[in-house]
Amino acid sequence: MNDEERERVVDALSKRKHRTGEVLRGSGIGADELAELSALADTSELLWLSQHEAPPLEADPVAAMLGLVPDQQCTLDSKAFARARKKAGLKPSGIASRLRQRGWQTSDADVFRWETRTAHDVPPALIQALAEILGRTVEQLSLGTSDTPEPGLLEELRRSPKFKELVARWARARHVSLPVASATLQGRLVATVHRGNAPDTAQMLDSLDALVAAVEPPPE
Amino acid sequence: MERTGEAEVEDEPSVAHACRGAAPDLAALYAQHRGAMYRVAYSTLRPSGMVASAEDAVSAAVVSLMKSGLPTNVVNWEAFLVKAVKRKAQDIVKSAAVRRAGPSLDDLHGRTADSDVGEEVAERVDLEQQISRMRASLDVLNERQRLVAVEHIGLERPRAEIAAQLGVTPARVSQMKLEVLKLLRDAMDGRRTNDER
Repeated sequence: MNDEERERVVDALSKRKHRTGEVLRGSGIGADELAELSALADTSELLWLSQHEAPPLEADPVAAMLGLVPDQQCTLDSKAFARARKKAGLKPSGIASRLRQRGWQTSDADVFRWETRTAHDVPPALIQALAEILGRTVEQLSLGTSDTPEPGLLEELRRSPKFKELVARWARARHVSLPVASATLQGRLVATVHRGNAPDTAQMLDSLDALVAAVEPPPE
Repeated sequence: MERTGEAEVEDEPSVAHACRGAAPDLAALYAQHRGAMYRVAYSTLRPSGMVASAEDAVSAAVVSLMKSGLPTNVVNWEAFLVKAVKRKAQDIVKSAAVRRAGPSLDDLHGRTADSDVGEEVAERVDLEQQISRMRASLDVLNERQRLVAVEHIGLERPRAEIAAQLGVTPARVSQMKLEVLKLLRDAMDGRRTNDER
């Protein structure tokens, strides 16, 4: 068996192709060599897996759909957040602890930083969690919608009545505020465009409509 | 928040909003575990040549959980989410297999719907450790070997392209591939032995 044949066996084993039997039949491969090639196939599979990861957050449509991509249309207002925290009688460590209970990996230093330095990396879903912890609305904690228009297609989409309707439906289905719903659906669109898909406005709205419908509860 | 039991992945909105307020935020869980979720999608879809559908599997699992809501009695969220994605990936493969009337799904995958959650957690931890060792083991390779490892084996760039870039024959790339795999296997064995000491 030459190296190219051995490589074929390793590939077949590592991909667990159902034609592995075919590859092995007639190859005259012995038990020892098969064991050796199987070990190499496991190594190959592991190497392949190590190079296949989740996409970067900003290009991950699922992350966008969950409101995990920071959005300039919905950013945490540091001063409003600090005021609300103090009024709620919570220390930064108390906020961090409550966020951790909800599954967020947040440190006391993160909370401190959001108040004193920058909070532009706080995604809409986290602002929603903060609002719920503090008994405030997202609108009370965020800087509000920026008037800076998104370029081209996204701005056209954002202004369409259909998009506004989808935002309202998403907010109801996911129990989130309108700004968070809007940022989430826009993030989804941006992530789609990042991935190289550039459908037209109608296609993008149809795609969002299908997504919203998928998470809505069935009609009573 | 302490979790005491195991929850099955639901496709129906049965546990939906009854659990709201007690379960963690799905977004927070996804941020923490999306790497493992994508990885299981890739590995489940790879044997059928459907890696491009990995995002669809992850997305379908998340949409399903958005609709059904998260249960409150989950021992290990990573295992729970990974299982949800794996099922969606298996469904994608199954749909394609039915369309093509290909081989039985059971021949291609060991379906783990009924497997023990503890076993799955152990497998996930072991896999993550092995991947970590693999990344560290790449240090034993020289630049040309690393190109073969990462670009050709890891990212499946065609052999002819790698051969052209390295200025060697395609057959030589095959040789290098086997050499690289042996080097990596030995390096990983060494690291495993060290870790176990």
